[in-house]
Amino acid sequence: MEELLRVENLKTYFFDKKKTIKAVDGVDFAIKRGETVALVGESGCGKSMTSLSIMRLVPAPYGKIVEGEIHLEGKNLVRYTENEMCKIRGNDISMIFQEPMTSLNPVLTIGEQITEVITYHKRLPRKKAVQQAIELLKLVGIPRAESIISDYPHRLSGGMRQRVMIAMAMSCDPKLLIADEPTTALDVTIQAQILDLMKDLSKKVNTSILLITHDLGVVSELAERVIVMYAGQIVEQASVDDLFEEPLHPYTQGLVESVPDIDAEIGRLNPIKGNVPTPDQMPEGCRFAPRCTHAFDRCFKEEPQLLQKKYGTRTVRCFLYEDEEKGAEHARKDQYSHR
Amino acid sequence: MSQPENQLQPNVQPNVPVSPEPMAPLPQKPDTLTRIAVDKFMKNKLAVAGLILLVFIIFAAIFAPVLTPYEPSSQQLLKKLTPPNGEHWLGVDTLGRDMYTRMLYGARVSLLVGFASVAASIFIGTIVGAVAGYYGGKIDAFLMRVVDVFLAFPSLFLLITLVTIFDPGIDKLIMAFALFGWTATARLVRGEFLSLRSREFVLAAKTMGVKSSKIIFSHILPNAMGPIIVTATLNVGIVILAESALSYLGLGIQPPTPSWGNMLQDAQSLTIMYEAPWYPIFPGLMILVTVLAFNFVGDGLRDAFDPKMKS
Repeated sequence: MEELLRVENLKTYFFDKKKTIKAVDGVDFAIKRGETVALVGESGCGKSMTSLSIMRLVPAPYGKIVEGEIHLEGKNLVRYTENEMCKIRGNDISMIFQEPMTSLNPVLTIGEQITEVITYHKRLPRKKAVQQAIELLKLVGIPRAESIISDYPHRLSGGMRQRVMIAMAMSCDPKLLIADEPTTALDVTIQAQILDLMKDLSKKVNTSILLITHDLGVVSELAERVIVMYAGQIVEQASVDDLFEEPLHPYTQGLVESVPDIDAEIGRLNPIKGNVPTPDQMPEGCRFAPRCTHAFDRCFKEEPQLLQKKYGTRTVRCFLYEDEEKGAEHARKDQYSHR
Repeated sequence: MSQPENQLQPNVQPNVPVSPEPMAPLPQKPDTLTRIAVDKFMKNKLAVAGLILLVFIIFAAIFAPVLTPYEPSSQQLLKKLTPPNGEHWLGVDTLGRDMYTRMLYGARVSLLVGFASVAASIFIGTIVGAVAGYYGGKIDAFLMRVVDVFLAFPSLFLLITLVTIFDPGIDKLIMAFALFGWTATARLVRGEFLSLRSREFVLAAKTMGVKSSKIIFSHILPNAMGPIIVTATLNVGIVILAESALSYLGLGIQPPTPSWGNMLQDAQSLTIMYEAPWYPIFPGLMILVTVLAFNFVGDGLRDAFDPKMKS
C-alpha cells in the first residue's frame, strides 16, 4: 500500500510566560492509503495535539509546531500558508470530534453547514450542493434527509448529529479522516452503528482513518494498526492483533490489562498506578519509569529510544527489549527510507 | 469496555449545552430560533405595546405630508400661540406654525438621527469587536485601548465641541453620534466573540477549511446577534434623547427644521411660560413616549433572546 501521511519528528510545544509545555515531543509515524490507524493513550498524552498539528490548527498564539515535518502525499504541510491549508482542510484531511452536541453551529441549519463545505471545496452551484448534501445525509443513514436539511442541530439526537458531522467530513471524499474520540459521547448501540458507518465509508472512497481514542474496544473494532502514546511520545507501534496478543511496552501491557475481560473470572482489575506526569514535571529518563513495575536503575537515568522489534513492523520504546535488537537507529532509518 | 480515563482532552470544550433555546418536544411548526424569540416577545405585553407605538410613530413620520394640510414652516402670524383647538390640534407656536405638523416632521428628524447613527455605530462596533474578540492577543489589546480612549472622553461635551466647530446639521449630528456610540457595542461584541470562538463548532468549521473571515461573520456573528439587536434598540432611544438634549441647547437640529428638541427650546421664553403653558407638553411627551417605547421593545428583545428565560 502506498504511503499517504508521514509525520516526522513532530514537536508541538506550548509557551507560557515562564515554562514550555511539550505537548507533542518528537512523534514519528506513517499512515498508508486506506489504512485505519488508532492513536491511543491517556488524557493529556498528546493525541489530540498530534491531530491538530496535522490539521495545522494548534491553538495560536500559545501553541506552535516547533520542529518536524508532516507530509501528505509527499507535500510538507508544515510549510503551507494558512490559505493553502484552508484548501487542504475539509478537502484532503477532515476531522470529526468527540462531542457531536457542540460541534455543529446552533444557529445554522444542517443544510447550510454541509453545503458551505461542498460549495467551497468543490465549487458547485448552490442547488447542486443542496442535492449532494441530501444524498450525503442519506448515505450516512439519516431518515427524512430532505426535511432534516432545513432543521437546526438542536432537533437532532447525539447519534444523528455525529452522522451529520461524518457526512460533512466525508463530503469531499477526503484522503484522511481524523476521528477524535468519535464515539465517546454516544451510547454503546449508537457507538457500534457509527463505527460501522465509518468503516463502510472509508472502504468506499479508500479514506485512511486516524482514530484517536482511549477505548481499546473501539480500537479492536476499527483499527488495523495501533500507535500508543505516552506523555507526548510514541511508546509502541504494532498491528492490532500483535498488540492485543503480546503487548510489549509495560504501559501498553497496563492498558490492555485494565480492560475487563467478559469471560475471565477475575476479582479486581489491574490498573496502572499513578498518573501521567504533568508536562512541567517530566521525569528524567524514561517518562513511564515512575509508574512502571519493571523499572530498573537505568530507566530513571537514560531516555530509551524507539526500538524495532523482531517482525520489523513493531516498534517499542523500552530498555527491556534492547537485547533483542542491535542497531536500533538502523532499523528506524530503514522504516522511513522507503517512501 | 473500559475507559482508562474519563477526563476531557485539552482542546475539547467541556460539555456545555450550546443550544440557546430549550429543547422543544417536537412542535408542529418548524421552531427556528427567530420563531422562538418572536413567541417569547409576543408574551411580553409592555414590549408589544411599545412595538405598536413605535410602528405608529414611524408611520406617522413617513406619511407626515398626508396626515396634515399645513407646511411645517408656513406661518400664520395672526394665529400665534393659539391653544389647541379643532383646526390646530396641538395649537400654534410663537411664529404662527402648526404644532401638530411640526411634531410630525420633527419625528422624521428624530427617528432618522436615531436609526442612522445607531446603524453606523453598530456597524463599526461589531466589526471592531468581532476582530478583537476573534483574534485576541495583541490585536485585541490594541483595539480595546482605542475603545478605552474613546470612552475616556465625556461624550456630550465633545459632541458640543464638535458641533460648534462644524456647522450643526443632521449629517454632522449622525456622524458625531456614530463616532461616540460604537465603543459600547465593540466591547459587547468582543465579549461574545471571546466566549464563542473557543466553542467546538468553531474548531469544527476550521477543520472543514472555512476561512477566518467567513467564520467570524457567518458562523460566530449569528450566535451573537441577540445581544447586538438588543443594544441597538436601546441605543436608538438613547440617541433620540441625546439629539433632543443637543437641540434643546441650540446645538442640534437648527431652525427652521423642526425637531422635538428645538421645539422645546422655543418653549424656554417667559412669554410662552406665562401665556402658553401647554406649549412644551407635546414635544416633551413625544420624546418621553418614544424613548420609553424603544426601551420596552429593547427589554422585550433581551428577554426573547435570553436562553435562560424559559417561556
